[in-house]
Amino acid sequence: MLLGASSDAVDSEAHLASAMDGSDAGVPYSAELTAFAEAVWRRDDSLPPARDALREVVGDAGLVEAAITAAVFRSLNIGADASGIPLDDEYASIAVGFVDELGLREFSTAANSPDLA
Amino acid sequence: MVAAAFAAVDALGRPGRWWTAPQRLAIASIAREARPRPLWDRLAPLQTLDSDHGEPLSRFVAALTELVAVETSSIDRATVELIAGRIGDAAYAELSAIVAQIAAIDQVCHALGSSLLEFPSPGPGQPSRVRPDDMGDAGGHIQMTEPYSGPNVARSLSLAAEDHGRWRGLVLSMYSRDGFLDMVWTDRALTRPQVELVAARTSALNECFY
Repeated sequence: MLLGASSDAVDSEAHLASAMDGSDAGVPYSAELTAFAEAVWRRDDSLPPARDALREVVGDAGLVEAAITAAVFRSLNIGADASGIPLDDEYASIAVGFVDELGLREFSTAANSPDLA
Repeated sequence: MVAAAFAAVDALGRPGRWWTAPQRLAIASIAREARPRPLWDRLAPLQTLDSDHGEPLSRFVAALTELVAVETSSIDRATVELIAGRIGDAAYAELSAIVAQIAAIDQVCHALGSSLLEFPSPGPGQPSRVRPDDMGDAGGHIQMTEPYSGPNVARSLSLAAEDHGRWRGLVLSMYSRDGFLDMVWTDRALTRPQVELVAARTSALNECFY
């Protein structure tokens, strides 16, 4: 959700659909970051080359930041969906603008936020 | 972050509120090994599994742990009602908090190609079986801290008490630290939009609406 807001803050425009389909997000090294996130999620043979490709463009510190981010969001997703929490009211008004555009109602977990689902 | 990770792993070797140390370590081990299953090898439906026998975990709890670890988005209200009827909602919350901690710690290691942290030996003692105070209905599948002024995810597993606290410590050390509301991060190796792209793609792959 903060991809759009943080891009706006630096006068850039991120393509939110990239989160859903892995397309170019309009941020630097989008392809490498997306490929790395996907490889971490799959945990298969695609991970070592994705790791090397990302390190090549963002360096060791950038790779570590990306690894930590992928891990912490997997963990947050577990907490959110195991508990079934609804989307917070203050974020719902923002999300309503792109829920349909991105097809997020297709997620079964959308049922946890009945005001938006 | 390193200190938070070691604290989380170390606590697996002590009894929690609802699980013994051997059970907590068994839950963590299943979470560590869990992988998405192919279509021809799906988990047996939870309602078909025995929850009364098995050491250190019943088949029901072992399968539940795997479900939380790799198919969290499939857990709906009816599933949690079944779980709560078998093991109790607070034991489910503690199990989920252990899985969430292991996911955070192990995925960093996997992502970087590093060795995993070793689990401790199990210590003695029995779970306290004390339910935390101030739990209420906040619209989720389980009770959580109520009232609460922060984002729902920050209280999502508060029924797990100390394990929720350790999980929150991990998450805060790994993500926004003290800069969640700052849309521009200048002290990181990645820009905020780059971090949020990885976050958004990960959440989409996990089919997490929240």
